[in-house]
Amino acid sequence: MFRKIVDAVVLPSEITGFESDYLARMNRVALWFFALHLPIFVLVAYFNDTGPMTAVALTSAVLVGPFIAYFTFKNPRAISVSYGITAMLMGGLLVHFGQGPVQIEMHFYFFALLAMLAMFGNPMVIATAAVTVALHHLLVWMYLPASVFNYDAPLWVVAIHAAFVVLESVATCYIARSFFDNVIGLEKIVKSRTAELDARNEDMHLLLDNVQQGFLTLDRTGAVAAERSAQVTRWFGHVDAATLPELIEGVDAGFADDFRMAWEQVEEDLLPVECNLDLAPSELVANGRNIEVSYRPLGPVDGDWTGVLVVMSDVTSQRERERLESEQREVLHLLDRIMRDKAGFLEFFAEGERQVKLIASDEIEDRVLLGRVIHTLKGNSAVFGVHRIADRCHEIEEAMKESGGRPPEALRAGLDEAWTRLRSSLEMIVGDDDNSHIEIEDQEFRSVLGSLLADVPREDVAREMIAWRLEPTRRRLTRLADQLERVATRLDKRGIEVQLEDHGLRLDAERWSGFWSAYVHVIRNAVDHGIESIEERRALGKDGAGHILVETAMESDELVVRLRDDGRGIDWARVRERAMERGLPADDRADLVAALFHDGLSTRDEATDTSGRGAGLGALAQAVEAMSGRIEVSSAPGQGTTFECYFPRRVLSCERPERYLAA
Amino acid sequence: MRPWLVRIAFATWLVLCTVGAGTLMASHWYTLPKPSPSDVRVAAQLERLRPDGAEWFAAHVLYSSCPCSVRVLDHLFSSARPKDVAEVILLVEADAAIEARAAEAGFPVTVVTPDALRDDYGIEAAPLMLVQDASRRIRYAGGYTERKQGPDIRDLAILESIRDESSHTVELPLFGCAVSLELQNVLDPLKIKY
Repeated sequence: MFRKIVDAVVLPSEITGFESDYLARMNRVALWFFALHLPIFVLVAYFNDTGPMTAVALTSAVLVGPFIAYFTFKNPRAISVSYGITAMLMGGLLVHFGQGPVQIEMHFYFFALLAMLAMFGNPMVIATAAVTVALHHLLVWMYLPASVFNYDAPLWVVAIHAAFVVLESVATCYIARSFFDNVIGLEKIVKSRTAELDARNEDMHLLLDNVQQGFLTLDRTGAVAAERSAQVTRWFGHVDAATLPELIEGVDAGFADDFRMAWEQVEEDLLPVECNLDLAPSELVANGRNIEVSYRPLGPVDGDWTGVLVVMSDVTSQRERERLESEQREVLHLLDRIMRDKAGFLEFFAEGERQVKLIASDEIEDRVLLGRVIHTLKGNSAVFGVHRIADRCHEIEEAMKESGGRPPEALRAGLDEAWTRLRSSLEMIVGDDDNSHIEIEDQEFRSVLGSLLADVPREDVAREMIAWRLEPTRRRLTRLADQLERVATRLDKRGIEVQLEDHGLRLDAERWSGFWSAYVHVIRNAVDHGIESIEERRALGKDGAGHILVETAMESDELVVRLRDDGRGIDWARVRERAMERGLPADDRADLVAALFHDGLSTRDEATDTSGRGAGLGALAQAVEAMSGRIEVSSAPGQGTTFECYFPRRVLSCERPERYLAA
Repeated sequence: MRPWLVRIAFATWLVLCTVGAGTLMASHWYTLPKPSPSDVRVAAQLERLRPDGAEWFAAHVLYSSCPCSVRVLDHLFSSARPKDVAEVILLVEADAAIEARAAEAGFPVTVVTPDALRDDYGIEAAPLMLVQDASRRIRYAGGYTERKQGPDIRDLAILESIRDESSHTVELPLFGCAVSLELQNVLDPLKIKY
């Protein structure tokens, strides 16, 4: 309790600049105030016949103290305290010189002065004044006890007298302290609060400097606040940027452009800010790091938004993990594929290896030919489920389309790297490629056995057995059917009925691998362009699912590889239009068929990762031509399309038994 | 100025002012003494001052240097006095002007010195009013006002109250000045007031 009273009365020792200035002013004013007591007291003494000269002498004597204090004390509070003593002494003089009918009223001076002392904002001044009064009473009581209890005044009268003085002193002390704390001490309060804020800011800076995430805020105009986490600077450098796009432009221009467009929506404010921010880009790449970006509107819960908090997280390792997991899944999928058709996969792999080398090197100078290789690799990769390669090829095609030139070196290197990783993953499997064994169907075994038992000439039996080294076209057709099914699944055209007819034919796998590799484009075109969606087919009165026939056959001494679908057929008018756009002949059907195989011609307005670039049929044409073959196309609107590749017998395998006899 | 010199100067000022103000307070607050009604000196002196044939007798002990006494004198000279009360002024220290005004107003004046007032009358402070009835009994020995420096001088009301036997008369305190040198020395050792 006593401690609290002392703390309330005694001010903190520190005197701020503001308090010092204020007290200097108030002490000067108060000195003038007390100095003016001299002439006033002389007048009071004169009119009350109490001795003007005595008033001069006594008032001057009282003024000595405040003048000494004012001109010599260093501490402005000490000067104020001396004024507390002076005020009470002046009160005593006034009562003395004011003897007469109004003498009792002169006592109000004490109460008025006690209240006025509060302007110093120092309870000690008031306490000193009160103590001065009490001290005088004590001294007088000690000297002449009867004087305090004058005219037989009882103790309670004296107590009431003292109570009023104490009451006013306590009240004015409280006012003075409040005045000090809230007005004079305002500077101190502001300083203290500022120090607290600085401490909190320091903590916040510490946090922002050490957190691994990027934090920054935007105001409603999109301006970036200066306060941001150190990670932002580490990612984007010390950029003097006014907006987020300016900050990021140097490392990811695409992100910056996308954000600008999104922010335009935010500024238009037609939709809730959350919806507009959903349109903003959510990931950028800064110096090889993947940065995920999220946006959170700032502002009162039930009020309008005032800004946006941008949170950036480095998800590079997460993306890498996702990539590895994706590749792992892809490898597992490929293993499944290999288990079912190892030879087919190995062939794809060998062909893909060759194609990747061609793409990665500068071996093919012709941009069109390079495009065909890329497109074929993309198609086969997609068919075999090697999406990482298909995606890279798609990127390269996009870059070529945009630049109109050769693919950038970085993208080609990226494809090569991706292929290397694929090869590394599959090394154990693709590495033991063993072509030293021959697989035959039971039917083929029975056929040869039957021939032997039936005394068929040995040369014929030998030819039959030599054919075992060739690949049955059924295997190829089956592979194509699988590819077709996967493309159909991807394009949401499930249920297409595929009919395969191989007619027991066999072909040299190595020799024909280029053709089969390019033939995948016909399959993809048939599914993507030819077969309508189930709804469309039903509307046209067709079966729900499409039908596709793929066959190999010998016709008129020629090998024909045929694909027939019952889809919408080729839009010849569209082909003509596109052919004319490119300055190609478009007079008759032959011209239009030729245009189909022209690089870059497609009936599609936009390319997808499946088709639409007009490169696939060009690649097929090139492969067929390489085998001395030709292509015939027939199509009727709404009825379907037939692609037929014809090859002369001479390109078929023609090994003779004598070769083995000699061996 | 050197700090220690400042401290000494300020402390000296504080002490002197405290003592000075204290003595002033004491001189104002001290209850001035009244003579006891049983004091034979007072009774003897009043008998000497009392005119022959007077039934009610009032003696106004006033000090010419005391402002309070001067105010009482002004009141006595300006107010209508009761016919059945014989009044005299016992003036401490001669003052020709006051004596002239008293004579003009019909007040007999007896001048005494402060020492004589103390020794012969046993009175040390003024203004003091003493009232005797016909039996020579002191019926009132006190001041004129209900409070210090009070503007309402109650002498006429007091005289009427005393003569009206049915009412109770309260003796007022003595607000005024010390007359005897001893009392003045006690109340004003610095000689500020006296």
